[in-house]
Amino acid sequence: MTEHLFQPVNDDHAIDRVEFALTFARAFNAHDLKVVRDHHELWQGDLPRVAEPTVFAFNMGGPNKPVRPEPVAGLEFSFVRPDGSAVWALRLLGNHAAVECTRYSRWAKVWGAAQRYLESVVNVFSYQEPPNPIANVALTVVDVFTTEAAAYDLSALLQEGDLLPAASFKRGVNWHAYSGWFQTGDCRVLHNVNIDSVELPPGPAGTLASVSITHSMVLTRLAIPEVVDREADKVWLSQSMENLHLENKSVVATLVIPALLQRIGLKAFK
Amino acid sequence: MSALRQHDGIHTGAILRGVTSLRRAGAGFAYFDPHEVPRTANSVLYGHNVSTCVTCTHKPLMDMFVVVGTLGTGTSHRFQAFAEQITRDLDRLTDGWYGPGSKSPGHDVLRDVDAVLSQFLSGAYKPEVEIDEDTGAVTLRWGSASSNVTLALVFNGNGHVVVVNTVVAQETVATSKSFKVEDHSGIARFFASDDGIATLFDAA
Repeated sequence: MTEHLFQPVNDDHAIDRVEFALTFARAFNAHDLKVVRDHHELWQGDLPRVAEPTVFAFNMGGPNKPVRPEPVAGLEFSFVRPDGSAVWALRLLGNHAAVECTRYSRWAKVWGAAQRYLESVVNVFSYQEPPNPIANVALTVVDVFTTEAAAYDLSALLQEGDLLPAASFKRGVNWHAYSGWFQTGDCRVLHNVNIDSVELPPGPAGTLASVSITHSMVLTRLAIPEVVDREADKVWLSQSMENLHLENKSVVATLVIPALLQRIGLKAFK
Repeated sequence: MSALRQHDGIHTGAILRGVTSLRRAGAGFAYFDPHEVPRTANSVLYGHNVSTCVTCTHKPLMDMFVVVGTLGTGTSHRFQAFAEQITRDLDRLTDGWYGPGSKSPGHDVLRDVDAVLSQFLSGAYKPEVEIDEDTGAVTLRWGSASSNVTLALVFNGNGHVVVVNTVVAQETVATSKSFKVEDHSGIARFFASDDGIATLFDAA
């Protein structure tokens, strides 16, 4: 039964981490971030650690503009493991506000928590003048499977199709595949699917191979509203994330072989 | 979900907040507000208040589970892997998990469990995990059949962890007492007294 050669990273799902993000029309300034930090008590119980990441952006605008790093204001709230890695993190950087979770349980619970954090940011920014509307919503989901490197058989995990060329099945353990497309309608959604297959360094469990599927979706508003309605924004955010969640399930269900879908809770999507 | 089983009742409980209380926790006991733990631990990671953390948070916790470990099966576990697994499993429970009307651990309970479990050292012993199906409260319990002492951490989701120590003698549970959660001074006196938990562990 080759379908048992690959194991999802969790007992009943394969999601290793997920990121929920909002992009605002303009970048946060120091005052914006101070206001957010002043409201830390709203989520301090969940995300007690505060950090100010130092990030520099390089201007590559053209021959008349010098290439020089310019600081980008950032702020991060997190709950970390003893090794310093974040279980949950709320990050504000440039014009992005993102929530990362590296301990996925169920969509309703994880998105519910992320929604609270993002809505808190949206509420805090309600004061902004001039208004800073939300330009897009993004969701990134990373599914990971592992197997013994010596027993690596990609056909026991993924199936050939529009998102995965036949050549991937002939490259051995280490390979990469990338694809992307636009989905159009009331909004425009950019899908990026990156699949990485690598042999991991030998460890206590032997030499394993890991296959990760990173599916990023960016839902862009075709017309950014001039008047900011934060309550309407929250409804739109919720509906958008739910839709992107379903899109992710559909894409993963297209990639993974049917025999593994039930194991990771996606049989209904096939 | 075989690691989870029904809550079998807690006879007594005690609670105390704050790092100051850790200093007076002798014989390997520690009681603390879990909300304080991650901030302190982060200070370790980022280079602030290191001496305070080591002295008042990590060291007492480590001592506590060394003591408890001698009461256990003698088998060590990769505790953080267990902590990740159990936290994720608890979070996957939904209401009705143990039949109609049963409650799953709420967000606040999981937040408190997470805050405490994430501070355990990797050599800590793996506890049993119990869920009160009526309230969603979570209890982590250490002990063994060969010992007459158990230690339990009870999480009700109120920002506190209740540390319960039980000595099972031939007749009964022996010296135990209940406190209102807000009665911090009374609880502190209980833990510091000769009849308190330290004595129970000495008897073991």
